[in-house]
Amino acid sequence: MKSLFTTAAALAMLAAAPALAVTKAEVLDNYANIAQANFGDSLTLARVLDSAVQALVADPSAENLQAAKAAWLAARVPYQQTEVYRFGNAIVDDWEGLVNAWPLDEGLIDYVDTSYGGATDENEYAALNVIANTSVVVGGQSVDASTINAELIGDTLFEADEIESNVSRGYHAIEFLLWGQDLNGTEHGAGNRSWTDYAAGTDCTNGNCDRRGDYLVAASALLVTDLEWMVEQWGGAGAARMALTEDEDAGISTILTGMGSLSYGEVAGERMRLGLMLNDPEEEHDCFSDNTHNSHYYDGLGVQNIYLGSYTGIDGVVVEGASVADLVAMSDAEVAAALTADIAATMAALTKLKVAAEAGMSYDQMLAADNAAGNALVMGGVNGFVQQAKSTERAVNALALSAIEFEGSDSLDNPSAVFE
Amino acid sequence: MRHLALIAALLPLPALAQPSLMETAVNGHIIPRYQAVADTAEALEQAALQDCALTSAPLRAAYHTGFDAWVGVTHLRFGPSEEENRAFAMAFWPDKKGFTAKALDRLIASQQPLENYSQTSIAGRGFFALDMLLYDPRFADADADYTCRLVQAITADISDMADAILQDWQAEYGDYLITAGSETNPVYLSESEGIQELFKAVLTGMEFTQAQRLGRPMGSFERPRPNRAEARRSGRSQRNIIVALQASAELANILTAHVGGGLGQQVDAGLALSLRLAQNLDDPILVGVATVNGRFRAEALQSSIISSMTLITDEFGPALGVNPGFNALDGD
Repeated sequence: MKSLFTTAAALAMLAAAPALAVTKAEVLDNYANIAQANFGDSLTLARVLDSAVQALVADPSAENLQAAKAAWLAARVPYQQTEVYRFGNAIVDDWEGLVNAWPLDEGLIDYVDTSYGGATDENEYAALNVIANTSVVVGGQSVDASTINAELIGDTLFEADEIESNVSRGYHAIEFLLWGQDLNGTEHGAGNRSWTDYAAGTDCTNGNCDRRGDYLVAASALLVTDLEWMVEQWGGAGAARMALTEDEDAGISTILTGMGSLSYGEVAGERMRLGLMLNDPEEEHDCFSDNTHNSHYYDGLGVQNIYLGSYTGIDGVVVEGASVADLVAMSDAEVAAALTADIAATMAALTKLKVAAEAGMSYDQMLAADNAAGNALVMGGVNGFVQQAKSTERAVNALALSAIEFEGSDSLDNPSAVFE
Repeated sequence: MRHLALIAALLPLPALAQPSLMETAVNGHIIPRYQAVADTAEALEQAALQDCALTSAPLRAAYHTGFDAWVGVTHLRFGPSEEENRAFAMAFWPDKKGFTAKALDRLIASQQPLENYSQTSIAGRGFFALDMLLYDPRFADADADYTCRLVQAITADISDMADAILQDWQAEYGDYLITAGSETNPVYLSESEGIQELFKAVLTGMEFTQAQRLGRPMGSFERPRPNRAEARRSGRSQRNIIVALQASAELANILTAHVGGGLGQQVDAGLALSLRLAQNLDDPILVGVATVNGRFRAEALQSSIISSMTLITDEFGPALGVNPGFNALDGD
């Protein structure tokens, strides 16, 4: 009872505090500025990754493979925070599969262990292995794969035969080429590809090292051009920014849709809970590198950035301004404070998960059926995301944003007028 | 503000002996349906104890009756069905990576002990494990002694979950809906949140039916995917669509009766049309999606469901004073 009273009292105090008057236009502007900075940081680190990959292929060594892996891990930090822009912003959602499609049938790309199996009912190209084959047949058409370039992996093979798990480009394709399959099941350990998979001449392991290098270089170059395009969309007259600000109510709704859909259906459901229910170590978002704890953590942080209207860039520069939290507080301070608290609770749960993973219990170990404590860490994150989606719904209701009103009706209360 | 006024205007007068919207939904729709799930699951468990041969006719009949009842609640993805992953374990589908076949293969090959079956991966549990085990030819020659015990373990697990869901509804969750907005309600902070839950359930069921049950086998015009039809091994693909649409329509009717007027009639008529189109498909496992005529019929059904969803989202929701919110299908 005591803690309940304290929470209620705290909420009442927050509710009593005067909300900062912000306009929808200001909130949208800040949201677009954060997108520009956040995708910009993703681009910066993708370029660093690209340099590291080129160094690895030009001069294969254990050190250069390690450096490329480190660059990939760093590149994921800003990118995962952008995922909150996916749902709602059609321009981002239509594009994101190019860079972050998952899950993938990695046998499309390169050699896999025999336990992987071959083609499946769903995907007859699941074990195509284009690195080992200079000519392949896709959808009844013979494809010349003698040169591995952007066209082949970016277009011909990508979602070949309209199958989503034919992921031939993006972060996870690169991840597979750097780490290889994680064959440790729910035991500790990530993929363990040797640098000699890129070695020249007789040092080459698993064959076709030159073609594997061509693939890796082409994939990382594509990632850079994809991100360059997305940064432009959020620039001063970029299409994503324009689409967002065309109709203010629809724009605000887009923001909340992104927060709620990423939290609930995508991360809590598809990425976290499903893996736990299947107890399958392959069902982790960054399954080759065992970086899944960070993947979830930075997804959560992205939601928090957007809600509180503040993003800290990779160079420490802060982009901040009018926030969704401010806007919701003007309609209903209690709802706004509850969502702030729920997001903070999710971040606390994700921090526990991240801490355990960094201390040695990797995410796939947490999925093991007999690891009750690990299961609980994952469920902590799931519960946090589900609860914050519920509160996001309340925020939508508080702002009186509903589908019919997205048509451009001006019947909504004008929040700035309320406080005049 | 406008919405609050609207809801207030729409609330029925508190006449005596007149059940509220929530009471009607809980006691006239939700609990009877979960009661049917529990009863038929119990019958299925008993049938498996009597005769567990994979080809047993009574077993298969009980499987179909039980699956019918379950499909009739698949739109109710909130509350007790979401506890302990019950709904996922009852029906793990779509299974994009073939987990169910793998899980069953692994169990049979290793003769894994079947105690504590609820601890098994969801891919090895529920109605889709039975669809695969009873009807896929790959298991016909498997060790009959083990598959028999496996069938008994799966059906007992289904029955346990069905009982647990029903008990939770009867013990507390039904009251949460009925008392939505009361001060002590821990789940629904306003009556409108309770109504939104029911509204979302109608849309969730319709969305799953059009996008998954229909959309997956339909694939694209150039590349239809009949092998992805739901429960095709046991010949239930069309039947599941019909049962699911009936369930969504029954709940929608409760909401439309609450609002009344021409809009409600329009919603009911749209759902009735979808149901007729589904019944007229005459294509039990949707192989027709690969033919011109069959595809035409499937597309007609799909668009009728989608246009009903648009009407419900854009016009009926505002009339109820709610919006679709988020659901578990939002991811990709």
